[in-house]
Amino acid sequence: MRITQQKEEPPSACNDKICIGIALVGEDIRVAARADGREVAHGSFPASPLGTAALLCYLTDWQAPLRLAVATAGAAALGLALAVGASHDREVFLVSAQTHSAASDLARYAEHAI
Amino acid sequence: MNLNPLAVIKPGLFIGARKAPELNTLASYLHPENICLDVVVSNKLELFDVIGRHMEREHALPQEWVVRSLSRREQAGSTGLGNGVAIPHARVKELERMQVAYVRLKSPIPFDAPDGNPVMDILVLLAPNQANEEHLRILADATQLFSDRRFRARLHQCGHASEVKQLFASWSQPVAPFFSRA
Repeated sequence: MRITQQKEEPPSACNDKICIGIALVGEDIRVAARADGREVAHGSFPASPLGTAALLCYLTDWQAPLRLAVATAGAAALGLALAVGASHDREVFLVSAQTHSAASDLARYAEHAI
Repeated sequence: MNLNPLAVIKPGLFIGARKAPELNTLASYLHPENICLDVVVSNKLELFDVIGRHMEREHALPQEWVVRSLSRREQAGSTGLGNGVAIPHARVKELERMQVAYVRLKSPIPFDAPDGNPVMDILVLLAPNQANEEHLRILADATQLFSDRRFRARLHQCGHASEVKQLFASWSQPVAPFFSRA
């Protein structure tokens, strides 16, 4: 896992990997996925052990290198970022929830961040 | 000309209004013929064999395909979620449409779930490669439903496939306010 802190302006696009945005919003874990420069899926899981397990399952399903942007606002979000990044083929970007809080925006951020 | 501003606002557009309950994606894909109750198996492999035989009989999907796809996905990481629930699933390149099945076991089996508990409720999902949106929605719907202890308890009381289908279709899920939906 590689964890990178937020940069101000994502400089260039990266379209060869699956990019996932993850945001903890209330009692939901909201997820959006982008591939080939477009959003291919979005949905939400309950913010519970079962929901986290389902999210990890979903990430494993891609069976491809992933770039993940996780909105961080509190310990729960940090814990989630660590959980989703616990695989060698994933890059995790911690993004301030004040900058990007929607899963779709986060996925776009992951696509552009270096 | 009607100058009453309320006359042109539709009832569903009031702030805080909620969408009428709609059939969740999972329920729309789960058909009674794919609901198997009180199945007796002792491990994952036997379970996948049973699922493979069922898919071959009901949908002409080669048993070997199904077993191989589910086993391969399981090797990448367990699909056991905890609370006695597992969602074994796989993307199958040659599949034409999504197949969803619910299997309730007679006795729980080990499934390497994160909470270490054996599982009894199995939701099987076979998705075509390109079905990204449905794949995520069904996983999300299933997780919302199975997170609810009352739903699991009611599910275990069902005696027939039609009751199970009805329960999946009618169980109310929290619906986000109209204006906050993505």
